Amino acid sequence: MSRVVAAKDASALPRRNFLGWVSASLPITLAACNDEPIVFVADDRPPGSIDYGELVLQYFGEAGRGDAEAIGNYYAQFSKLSSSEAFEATAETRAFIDANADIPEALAALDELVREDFLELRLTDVGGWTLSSAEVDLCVLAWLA
Amino acid sequence: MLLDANDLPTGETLTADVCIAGAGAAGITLALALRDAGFEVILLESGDFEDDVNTQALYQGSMSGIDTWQLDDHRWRLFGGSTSRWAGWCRPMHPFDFERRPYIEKSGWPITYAELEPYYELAQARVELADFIYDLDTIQAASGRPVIESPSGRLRTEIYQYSPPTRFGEKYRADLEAAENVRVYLHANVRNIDLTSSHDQVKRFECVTLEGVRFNVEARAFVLALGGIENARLLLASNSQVPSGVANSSDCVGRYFMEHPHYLGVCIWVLSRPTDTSFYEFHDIDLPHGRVRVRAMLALAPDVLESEGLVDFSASIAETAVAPGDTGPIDAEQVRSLIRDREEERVYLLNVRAEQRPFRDSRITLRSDVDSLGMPRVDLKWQLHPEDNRSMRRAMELVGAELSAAGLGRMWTSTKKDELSWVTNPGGHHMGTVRMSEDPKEGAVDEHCRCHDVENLYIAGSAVFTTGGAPNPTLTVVALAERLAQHLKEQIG
Repeated sequence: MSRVVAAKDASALPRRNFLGWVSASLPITLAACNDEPIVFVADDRPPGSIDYGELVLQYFGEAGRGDAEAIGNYYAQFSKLSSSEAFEATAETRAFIDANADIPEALAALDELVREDFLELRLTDVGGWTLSSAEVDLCVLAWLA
Repeated sequence: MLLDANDLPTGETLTADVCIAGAGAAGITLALALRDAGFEVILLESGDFEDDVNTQALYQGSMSGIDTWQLDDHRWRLFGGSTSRWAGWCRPMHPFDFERRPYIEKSGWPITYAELEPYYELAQARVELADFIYDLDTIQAASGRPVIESPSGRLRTEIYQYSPPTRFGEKYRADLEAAENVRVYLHANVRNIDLTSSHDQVKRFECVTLEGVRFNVEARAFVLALGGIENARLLLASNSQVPSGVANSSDCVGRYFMEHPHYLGVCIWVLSRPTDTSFYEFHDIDLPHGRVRVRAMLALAPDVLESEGLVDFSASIAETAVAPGDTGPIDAEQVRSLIRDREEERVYLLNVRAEQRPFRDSRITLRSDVDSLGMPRVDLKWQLHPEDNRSMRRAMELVGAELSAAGLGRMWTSTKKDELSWVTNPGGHHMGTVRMSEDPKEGAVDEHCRCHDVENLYIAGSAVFTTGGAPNPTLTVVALAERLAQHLKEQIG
């Protein structure tokens, strides 16, 4: 699980690198974007953990990734979440993903989780759309990727 | 027989067993039922067989609440009343509509569904529908079209039947014309309800025509069947003997005005899997005694309404097209991208017709100006209870979640400004202004539609609805009129 540990000037690091850094299991990575203060986050996940960037790419597909990013971006802005806060807000879904051995297994599990979200009414309203909380988390991860 | 009140000599007093004011669905139903029992009936109708501008203008007033259709453009003052325009939507209210729902203040009729059911069957025939069958399984079997899946059972599919629609004025004119014991007076307006000195009996209706003929009607029983607005207007305006108006010791007359708020075009369903939705379109099916036009609607299961504290609704679906921006900042196509294995491109509108909570401040009041008969005009302040829009938003969220759980896509509900910014349209269904209650302090009429305060005065029509339910009101209006006729037969037969 990641946590915010420090804020430093790392403006040279583009937002799109964020999840790549996390998935590479670097000891220190970023959880900030655009003009917000950059925050270093420790990734204490074991080596070989699922690459979130790759996961969301496979989940939404190349064609859908851009839409997912836009929805994640809208959600974070509307909810007034900084990118680090938005990332923290996805903790439950990330833990769910991390419990799987690999991406194919995680994708199948996420399909079921999204369905269960709707059944159990774990819902998130994004601009009037009734979405599963897990799929919104995936959109946020797509945006941060 | 059909007569013209303008032919009466001024000052004439007519007598009958029962005098009914208003020849719409309720008044005509009542007159026909009492005709069969041999009563002497006078049926007073303000209008003629066709629309008349001057008569229609008697309905003019103001709307200080939700400003929608004007008071003279969605109710019709002629023989047959607003059935001259209705669309024919029929279904009975549900048993739960009559029960007290703890989460809806002032809910709970003093009658049960079971008490009304036999009269619904009579009403079904009156609106030219053969079989009183609204059971989903039976209709679905006859239709052969599938019901939309509901994996958790939260969704309910409702059945509506469609009357031709019956134009009561056209359909029953000949029957009333031929009835020796029913006198229908056209151009006859009740101007005042004159009470006995003890104020607990109607002595006579004081009537007038637009041409200035004045006459009175004396009867053993009097029925107001003027519609949800005019019934209250006449009771309030008849205030020369009791300042608060006739039958208004509860101060409920004119209050608790209810409509069926129609939320049109504010919910969009992006379908993601090929699905047969044809059960939810108009189609004809064969039932044991005839062919009928039906359509299914989406709603929520009663236990969900109860656990969530929601009012009832029914939602029709209609295929549509959406353009960028129609669903706010996030387009339908963007959301469709979230759905894996999507294989369908259709988009539907959900048009929602909802119940509203009884709300004391939603009301009709008399204005200081008068119409050409000297009757005070009315102001209608139609308001929704603050909970109503929240309720509908939550209901749409639950419908959307269930469709999504079934793998059928995603749903959007408008978020413009705030919850109260929903596009709220009326249905032309005016209910609740002379509400039925067991306790005389909580309403104006008892379980027999008899005024608590006035023994021989009855109210017919949707004005007596304690709660409005979601179904269109006409079938219930006619059923209540049939039941009132039965009561009158027992009381004065």
